[in-house]
Amino acid sequence: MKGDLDDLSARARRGLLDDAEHRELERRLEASQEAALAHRAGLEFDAEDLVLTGDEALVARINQRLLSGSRPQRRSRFRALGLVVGGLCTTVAAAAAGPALVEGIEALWQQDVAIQMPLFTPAPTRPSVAPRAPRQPASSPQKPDAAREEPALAPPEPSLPAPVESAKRAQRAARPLGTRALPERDRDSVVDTSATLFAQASLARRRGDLSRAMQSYTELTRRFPGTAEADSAEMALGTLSLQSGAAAQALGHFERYLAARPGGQLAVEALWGKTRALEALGRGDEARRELQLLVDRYPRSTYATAARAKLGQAF
Amino acid sequence: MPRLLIKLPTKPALRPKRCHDELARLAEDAGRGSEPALRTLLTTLTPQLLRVVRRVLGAAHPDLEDVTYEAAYAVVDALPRFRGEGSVRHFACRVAVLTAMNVQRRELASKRARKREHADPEEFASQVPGPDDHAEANSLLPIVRELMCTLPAPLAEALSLHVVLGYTVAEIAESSGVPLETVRSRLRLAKQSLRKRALGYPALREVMEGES
Repeated sequence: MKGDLDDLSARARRGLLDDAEHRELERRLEASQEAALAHRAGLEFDAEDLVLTGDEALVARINQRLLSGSRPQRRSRFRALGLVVGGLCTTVAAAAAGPALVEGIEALWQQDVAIQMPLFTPAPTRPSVAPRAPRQPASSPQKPDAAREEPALAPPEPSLPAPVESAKRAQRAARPLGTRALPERDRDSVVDTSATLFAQASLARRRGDLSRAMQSYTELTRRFPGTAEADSAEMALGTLSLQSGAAAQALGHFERYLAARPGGQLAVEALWGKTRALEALGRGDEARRELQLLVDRYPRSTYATAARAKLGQAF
Repeated sequence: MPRLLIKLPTKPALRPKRCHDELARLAEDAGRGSEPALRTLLTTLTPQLLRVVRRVLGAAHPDLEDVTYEAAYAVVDALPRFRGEGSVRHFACRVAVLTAMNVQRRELASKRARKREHADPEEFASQVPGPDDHAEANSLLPIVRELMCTLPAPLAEALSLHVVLGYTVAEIAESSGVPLETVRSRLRLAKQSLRKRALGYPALREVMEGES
């Protein structure tokens, strides 16, 4: 039998082994406690693989942050060389022309570097470089560019009287944790966006205010149909409706998500929710069909294991 | 000395086997600065990066979004230097694992520093595992996560790529750029540490004794 134990274990976790290889894996795992532990740990990680409601919106937010100006600039390989040569020239000039000229050149040089530096400063520090800075708001990596663009987009801030601004700052500090994930601009904007509504709804849900959460999610789906947040809101509405016993409503929400994003990241979760809703409505045959569909389409998902187990039971 | 001057051919055993990678072209274009390519690549990869980070840090970690952002940023930053060893997906997932592991290690280091600064006898007393800890110890996940912080970096990387992401030895060798035998040896040492660590948990020890 070819292949080493680690490879067999990895391929087993992907469902790629035939019967003979499975038997071989079991035989060899029995002989090695270390490999058995590693294999078991791997299976636990696979079982824990979670796709949560709101992941799609979270991913969209991360991509937005990356794409909206904070993309890393490529460093010029000649820049470092230029700095060295510049430094040498300054030293030579110091020797030749006296202190006054040198101060002038150095001032110019510093000015040049100061102008260029923000362009080369990456948004987050690279993981291995420095200790972690305190968490900043989501828009922080774009600050240098955003600061330059702000006057054209927003009303000038200096017109705010100082007490009003300090009150606003205090209000901002007192804001609950959940809203801090939003970019500063969005949090302060008067006009709701799909992201602010989603954050409000999620915050209400976390606080246990389910009626308010459902209201916000519904408003989001009504006002911003087709956005990633609206589709995630359908999923949240489905789950909340199921929890509150409104299976028919939940079914509608899951079906709407599946219609909008048949291959979406939460599609497997939506299918699972749909089967639960159908089951709650007493439509066992349809639930069984959906479970089979889930197993066929997503054989390696966590839900597939549960679906197989359910298919083995009678409704 | 002549060995240093003459460019020796790469050993055939180390050269990765080229497979079709549907993201390779996209990554190349994104590395050259193409905005649509980058957008498409991120749409494809970021959900995966989020899942990897969640596996390493745990679903309850408060900084999942920021760490995923860091990982995605690091992937984009490294794209121009990506030389096509292994698939783009494996490359990105490895970057995400390393980013998340670094975060874990930093957190552990700062936790230790805080403990050194304010040595409180009650804190030491509370570290004795209680009944809840024993009940939880049936799971290997916390042990693997702890090992990822405490093992030497190469061993931790091999362990996480194999156990957390389910990579084969060849895939780890390809994405880390090390020979197969090195990966096997690192995995062997990491698994030994896992066993030693698991033996410290009575519930797991019972399971292991029952199996053997």
